[in-house]
Amino acid sequence: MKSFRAGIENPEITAIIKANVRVPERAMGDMRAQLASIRTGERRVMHLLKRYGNEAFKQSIRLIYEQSEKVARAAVEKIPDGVYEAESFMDDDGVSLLKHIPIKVRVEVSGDKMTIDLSDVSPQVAGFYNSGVTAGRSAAEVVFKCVTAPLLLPINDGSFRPLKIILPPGRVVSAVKPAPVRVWMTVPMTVCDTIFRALAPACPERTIAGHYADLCTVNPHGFDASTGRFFWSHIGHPGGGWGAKHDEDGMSATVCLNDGDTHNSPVEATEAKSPIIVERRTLRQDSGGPGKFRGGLGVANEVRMRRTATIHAHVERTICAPWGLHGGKDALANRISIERTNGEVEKFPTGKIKPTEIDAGDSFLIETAGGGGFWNPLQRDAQRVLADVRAGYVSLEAARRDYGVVIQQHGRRFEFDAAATAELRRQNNALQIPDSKFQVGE
Amino acid sequence: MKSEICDAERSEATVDAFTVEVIRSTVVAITDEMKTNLMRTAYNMIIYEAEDFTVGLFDPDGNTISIGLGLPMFIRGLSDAIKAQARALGQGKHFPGDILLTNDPQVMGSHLNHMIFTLPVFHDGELVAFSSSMGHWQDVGGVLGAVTRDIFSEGLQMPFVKIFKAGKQDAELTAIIRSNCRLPEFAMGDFRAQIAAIRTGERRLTRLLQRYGAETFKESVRLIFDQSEKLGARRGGEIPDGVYEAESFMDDDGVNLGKHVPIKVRVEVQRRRDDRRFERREPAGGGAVQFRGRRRAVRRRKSRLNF
Repeated sequence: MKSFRAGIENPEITAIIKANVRVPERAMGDMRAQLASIRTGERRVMHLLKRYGNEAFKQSIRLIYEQSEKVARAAVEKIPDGVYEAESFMDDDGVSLLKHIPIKVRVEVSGDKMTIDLSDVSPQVAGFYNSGVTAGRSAAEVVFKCVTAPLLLPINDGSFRPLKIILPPGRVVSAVKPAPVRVWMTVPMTVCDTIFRALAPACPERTIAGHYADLCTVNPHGFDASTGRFFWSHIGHPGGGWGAKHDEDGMSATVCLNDGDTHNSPVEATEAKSPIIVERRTLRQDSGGPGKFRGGLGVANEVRMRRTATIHAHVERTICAPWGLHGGKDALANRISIERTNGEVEKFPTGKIKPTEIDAGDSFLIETAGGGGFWNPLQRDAQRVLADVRAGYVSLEAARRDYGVVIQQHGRRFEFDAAATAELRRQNNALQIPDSKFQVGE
Repeated sequence: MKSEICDAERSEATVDAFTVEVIRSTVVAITDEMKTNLMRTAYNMIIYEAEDFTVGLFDPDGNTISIGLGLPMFIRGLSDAIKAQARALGQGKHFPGDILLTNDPQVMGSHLNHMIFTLPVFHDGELVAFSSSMGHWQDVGGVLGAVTRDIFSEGLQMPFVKIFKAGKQDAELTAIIRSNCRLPEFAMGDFRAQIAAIRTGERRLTRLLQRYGAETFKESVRLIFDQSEKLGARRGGEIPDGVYEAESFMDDDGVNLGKHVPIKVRVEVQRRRDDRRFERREPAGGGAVQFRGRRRAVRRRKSRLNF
């Protein structure tokens, strides 16, 4: 519809919007902000057009598309031809608990063309984890851009010309009406990671191990008697661990792929605007998948309510942990729990919590997953493991168990035991299946 | 009773008693025809079998001239919706060919499924009446199978809009309705049926006006109101003066199971005045079972009701 016609706002449309949102003044503020933003875009483009004229502008756009296409084709050309497949799964659709949602992808590289086939991704589901076909296509394009030209040339539609996406309607990422889509953002992230997983044997240097792949956001809502208003606490995205790459550790406490450019919410701001106290927001020790390059760490975010509220959670990927690549190990998966004032801790089979009353004084804890590791952890520089232990990223036990690195603790001092480490790593190496270049995950 | 009414007419009326009687019967017949029309054309059974609807004719101030009730509990819904819409629009903002639409429970008292279409009827360029219909649509979106805790979970809220503007249907508003209903073809069927019904009302009323003229019509409506008032007062007067109270309760609000919802009423009867007040109202409960008693509307009861 047209919210504005020839410069005049349609008051009936605006009235419908206002009538259908719980906090109309915020919605209207956002509406005006968005209008201001696109008008800024218009104004600046007009400046550009005045300076160069319509023809030069249009011709330049055409050339920009062609440049992006050329760069993308050259990058695809470097990937060995072949068919690459991978699979993973989501916990469930929130309706049939623990009934996994399979994610299978198939990538075909042929010359300077790539085909990403999502036909075997699960059919659309009963719960609200579906998304429209645009989201499925976006998942394929995000990976394609990362694999072909992650830093070179900004995104435009020329970048995707060498890419063919096969995605029939009715899949969980190409759902059709009346599929519920409230949590549309979750599954496409795992689709992205799974495409990277498929490509890992073909071009390890351009892929990334699995990440925590969920917003892990829980926003309590309720009625605040002290203000007489409905409140909706935007606690924000706590962030989680990203997968390691072939030559670097994964990022810790970083917003997930779907919302990559959004920010987390500062504790002080959320506490000021909502009746909550953030008891702790810390890195989650040992959550990063071990590897020569370690996966990033997830976050533990504990929030205590100051008012009675309702919470419901739709945290995913609590079972299919973010995977490592090429001998790198899996990370710890996402997790959520509620702690009542009497000390009782409620745990859940997955990350799904149906709308539940949470009293003032109760708290909930979201522990986000780390990222998967890359390459065999026994190859990790022992000094980096020592640094991780000193920083608290990796525990002493994990250093020994996962990395074969022996460290002695004396009070607050950690000492690297070179001889014991060499011996432990020799033993562990002997136990391992010979490392295949194309081995993926555990 | 008859003589009393005739006396009144003799003393002040400019329209003869026969004409008033013909007009009274005609407006009732018109609402009956609107009702039949709606039942024969509606797509969903809740309207055509269960008769969950209300149609009526209203004066330019929104007072009820004649009402075809499917729902007795909706006796004030159309009138109050028309009044609220007129207030929001402002004077002189009704135009021929307009059709107003709302399902705002704040003004009509029931739930979002009750879509109200209202058509201003003009005669010789003058707004003389409203033809209005409410129909229960099977679905207007919202959560299925759960106790809702606020209205935003209950579906599309249509504020006061003109779904037709000077005879032209607003395609964007229609698209919003369609995209928010689970059964759009049913919704649109009921939509058209309700519009057909109010246009039937308009057509018949226009004929009546052509025959008798706006002045006679308006004067007759005034007399019809007076007669009803007199009748109500007379019957009310048969009840001994006094204050009468009673109470009962509902099981619960669906949220706090077993916590009763008290209903207390107080009726005051005074000779020569029909003034019944519901003074005690419970605050709105937490669950989906709610009745918004409109204190003002109830207090203003002057028997302007056509039974």
